[in-house]
Amino acid sequence: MRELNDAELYDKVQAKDKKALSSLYDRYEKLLYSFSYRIVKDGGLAEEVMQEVFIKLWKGKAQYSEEKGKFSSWLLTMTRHTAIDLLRKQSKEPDFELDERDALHSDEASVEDQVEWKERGQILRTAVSKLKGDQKKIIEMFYFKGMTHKKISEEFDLPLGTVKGRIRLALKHLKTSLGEKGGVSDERKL
Amino acid sequence: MKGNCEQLLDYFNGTLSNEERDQFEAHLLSCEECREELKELEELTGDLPYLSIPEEPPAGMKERVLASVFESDMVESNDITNESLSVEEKNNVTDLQTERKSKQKKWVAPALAAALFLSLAGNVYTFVNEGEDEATQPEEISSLIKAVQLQPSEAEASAGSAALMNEDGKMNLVVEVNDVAETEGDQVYQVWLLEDDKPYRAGFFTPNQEGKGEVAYQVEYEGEHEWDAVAITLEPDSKSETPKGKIVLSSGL
Repeated sequence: MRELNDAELYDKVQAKDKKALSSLYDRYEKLLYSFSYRIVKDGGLAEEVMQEVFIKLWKGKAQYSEEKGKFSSWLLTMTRHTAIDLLRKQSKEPDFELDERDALHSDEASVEDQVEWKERGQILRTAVSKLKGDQKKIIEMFYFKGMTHKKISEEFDLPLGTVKGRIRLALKHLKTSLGEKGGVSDERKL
Repeated sequence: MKGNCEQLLDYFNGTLSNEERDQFEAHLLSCEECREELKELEELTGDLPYLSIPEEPPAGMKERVLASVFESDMVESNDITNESLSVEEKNNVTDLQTERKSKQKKWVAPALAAALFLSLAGNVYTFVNEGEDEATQPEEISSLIKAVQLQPSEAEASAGSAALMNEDGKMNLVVEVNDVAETEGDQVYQVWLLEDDKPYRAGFFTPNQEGKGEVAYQVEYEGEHEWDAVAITLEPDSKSETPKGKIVLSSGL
């Protein structure tokens, strides 16, 4: 029998099919956990993010539809929002630190990881390592810490009106740098 | 609409309040620039999750997570005495309301209250821990603070109920009404929370053809408040800062 795709599994989950939820879980456990961990920097909290994400899925509190794009992108966004929310509730001011590990190789990570992720990750890390310190920092604060527009403007001593431009520029640099390396995101679309 | 455009980043990060988010989504419909910027942000960040270094999930996480997911259902059913009414979907609640509606008015209010309570119970969940360090997994509870029946003003045949609930430290006011008169033009029913006779806006709605309306409002007024009462008035439009129309339904809190 053909394996169900994500959207089909999601539909079954909406119909309260426990097996479907379990399959989705298996499919995404590692990616979502690692991503949550990357944001909250704590194993216990990352597990809490996982719980919330799957409760939202199960209870239909977060609704996916195909017009929202790829299921995986939607799920990653939902996870990021959940993790950021939890960070904020912890209200230990997410003290900013550059994740130095981004610039390092991670060969010690488990071997049987999805190869694609690993390759993509390495290309990304190389690209990130080429960014200027401030650009790394602004991506970190905005994307991984979910800091508000206002907070970022304070942190960088930037007028509110220029924050968006700075973030965009940093992300574009990253993209360009990725392009030189063969463009992961283009490959992804195949 | 400059003000709204400035919220794009916070919208993208999911840090707006529910109300702000709804407003921004409405804004998105009319602002092509924001739509494009949002799309660009999504594209530019699409790969970033893969920056995460693969972490080994802790042993037994799957069992714990799925158990808490399925337990969250159990918690609901336990809260509800009448199993047959267990809040599978909101649809049931709606059916319940529709069925009862046409009968005697007297029945409407209790039915609504029950329906409201059910729909609230649906939002209540508790994470139950299994042998995990509890410091890292605080309980998450949304709790009902107060539920009241709304009393119609003289000569009104309306009924309704209101509930204040606490969700993650945020206060929500949920109001449902039945048998209110139709609105005309820009008219809306405005809900107010009152403190020392001072009214605070707390959401508005327009009823459907059957005279039913509902609204959930996140109460975000700064400082400490002791709400004395909740009231609904019929307003010429949704912009009234103070009540202009007469009170249709109200109750002390």
